[in-house]
Amino acid sequence: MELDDLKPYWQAIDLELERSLALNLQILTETRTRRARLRLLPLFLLQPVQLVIGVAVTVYCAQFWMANMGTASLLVSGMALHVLGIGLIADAAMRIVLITRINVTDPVVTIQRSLAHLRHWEIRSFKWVWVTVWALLPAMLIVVARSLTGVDLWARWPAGIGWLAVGSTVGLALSYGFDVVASRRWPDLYVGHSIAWAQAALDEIEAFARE
Amino acid sequence: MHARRLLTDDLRDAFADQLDRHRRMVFKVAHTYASGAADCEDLAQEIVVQLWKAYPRYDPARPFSTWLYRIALNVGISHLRREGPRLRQTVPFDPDQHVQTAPDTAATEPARLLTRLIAELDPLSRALLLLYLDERSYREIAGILGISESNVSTKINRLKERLRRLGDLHGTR
Repeated sequence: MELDDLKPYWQAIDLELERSLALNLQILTETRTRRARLRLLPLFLLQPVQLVIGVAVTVYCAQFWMANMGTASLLVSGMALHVLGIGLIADAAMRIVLITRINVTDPVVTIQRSLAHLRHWEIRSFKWVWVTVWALLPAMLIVVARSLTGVDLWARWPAGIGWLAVGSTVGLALSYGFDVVASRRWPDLYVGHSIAWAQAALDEIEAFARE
Repeated sequence: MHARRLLTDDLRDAFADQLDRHRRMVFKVAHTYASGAADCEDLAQEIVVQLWKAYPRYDPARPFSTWLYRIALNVGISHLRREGPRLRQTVPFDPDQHVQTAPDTAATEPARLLTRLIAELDPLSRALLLLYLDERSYREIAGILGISESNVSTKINRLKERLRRLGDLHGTR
């Protein structure tokens, strides 16, 4: 059987499909278009929101650590959150670049590559945010406590901060463990959510684009 | 407001007219990436929605079929990637089940072989197969997919080889 021998069968299926399927053009004015628009809305709206939060965190924490250069715990905590703020800005900017690069009328491989890059970035940045939130929990508490009450938690309650750091490390380890176990136990749930999946999709597209 | 409404109505009429002439392309893409009749119909409607959303940016100087195929294939591929795990748990695409109006054609061995070949292929290779079976030129296929003509030729030869192996495996000559 040759590929060209399948053409008549393809045409026959095509004719049958035309008889059995109908396109409902009413949907162009109905809820479906609204739903399709709404599905894209968070993608576009979240990036400026994250950008604003990132700028606010960066500016506030820069002022914070500059005002507390004499106290190591406050200086380090402020600088750590300052870096987090810059990370949030860079992440949002990268997403905006990746999203604006997608033009629906581009060739198929170009769009699929852009979508795969965006998905790969989203999955990776989500994992990084997760790790960062656990890792910077003590620093966040120190900055918030100082800003709201004027108390230096590290100086006042070093053991508590130490235990919080231990708790963060345990939380991080448990999260990582759950991620590994769940991805093996329920792989279908993790399709579309793992870096390995995103990388495989990218590799597949690059392999197709190569001769 | 009234002028804008008229413009939208004109645009919708023009789109409906174009779509009516090319609707078989939409069905073929939906057929290639969907699993089962209901999924196929849903995907076809999703493609229409995305085409309509992109229509104001369509350049009439370029072929409508190329524009339609690019968008429709992207919607189909994204659908397959998104719904992949769920689709794996449902009955795989089969003309016997999918096409209910004329089971005689759908039930033939070559049609089954075609179904098996489609099911085995990655999403981009499915697009290539669809365009080839639709008798598009290598140049047009290259333009729609965004790869070189020589790459199209290489991949078509690989598809032919793969079909032969599949035919041997299932005893179809």
